[in-house]
Amino acid sequence: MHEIYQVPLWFLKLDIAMELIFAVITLLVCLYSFKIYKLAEQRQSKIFGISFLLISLSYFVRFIISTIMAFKLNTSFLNPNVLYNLNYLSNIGIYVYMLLFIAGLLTLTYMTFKTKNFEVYILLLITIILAIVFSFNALYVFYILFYILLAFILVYYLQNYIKSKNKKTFIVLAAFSLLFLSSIYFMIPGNNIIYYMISHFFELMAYLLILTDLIIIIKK
Amino acid sequence: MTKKRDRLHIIYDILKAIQQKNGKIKPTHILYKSNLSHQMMTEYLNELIEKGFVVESKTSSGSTYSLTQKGFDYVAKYKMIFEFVDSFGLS
Repeated sequence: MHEIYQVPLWFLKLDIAMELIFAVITLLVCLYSFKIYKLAEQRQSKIFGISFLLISLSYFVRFIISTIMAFKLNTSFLNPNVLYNLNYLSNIGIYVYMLLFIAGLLTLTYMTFKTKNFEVYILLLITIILAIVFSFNALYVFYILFYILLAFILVYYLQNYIKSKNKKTFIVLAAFSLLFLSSIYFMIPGNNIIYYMISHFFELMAYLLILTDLIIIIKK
Repeated sequence: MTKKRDRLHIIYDILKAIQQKNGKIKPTHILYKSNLSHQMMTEYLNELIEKGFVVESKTSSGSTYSLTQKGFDYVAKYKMIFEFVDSFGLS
């Protein structure tokens, strides 16, 4: 689980800034979805809003943990007790991040199914939480679930684009495609900082595209 | 058009029809303006009443329907609602 923090301190600081940007953008999408839900009482908007709320919370958790890490590593670098506590805090934080993020993706996938069967959602949620919590390598399970759920979401947004063929649906498709690519570094052997940075760049592009789409809608 | 897009648009048509009649309308006018069957119109109206977009007033000459603030807001923001729902595949 320590892989995420095996990066230079300068990059950790850049990482923190990006995590805050991701958290804010996803929170904006969430708030706007709830606004649409309030206006139209449309169930899908509420589910979409909840999914982005969970994703936003996951990024806020990562932001807080990374900020504490960067600050403590700067001030108490050689203290073994502090390092032990930091490691413990980092592991807890990453677990919370993974659970929130995957729950967000599952909620988004559930929205694409357009089913009103809530039991299906609860069953899937319990299954993925147990899979992450009780696995020997939670990070691998997280990424496998990430790819599976995002594949479903991608197919849905591809169909959505084919159906309406407009700029806005293409932007959403491109955003989720970039998000899918953003974790590709995990599949590449070794702990290469370049791949990690490229993946973060993809992630940033994905959220900026979603923000662009939101701005286009608001401006109309 | 998707099923849900139609649905959002039908709701818009019903609310717009009520708004155009100075916020108060008889069911026959809604039927004419929304181009729905009587059964479908009743279902939509019941849902709109339940969700707080429309209120029903019963008089000696029959029922009339008027918009609530929520109904007016839906008509005013329809384009934005539609754009958001369409873009993010929420239909």
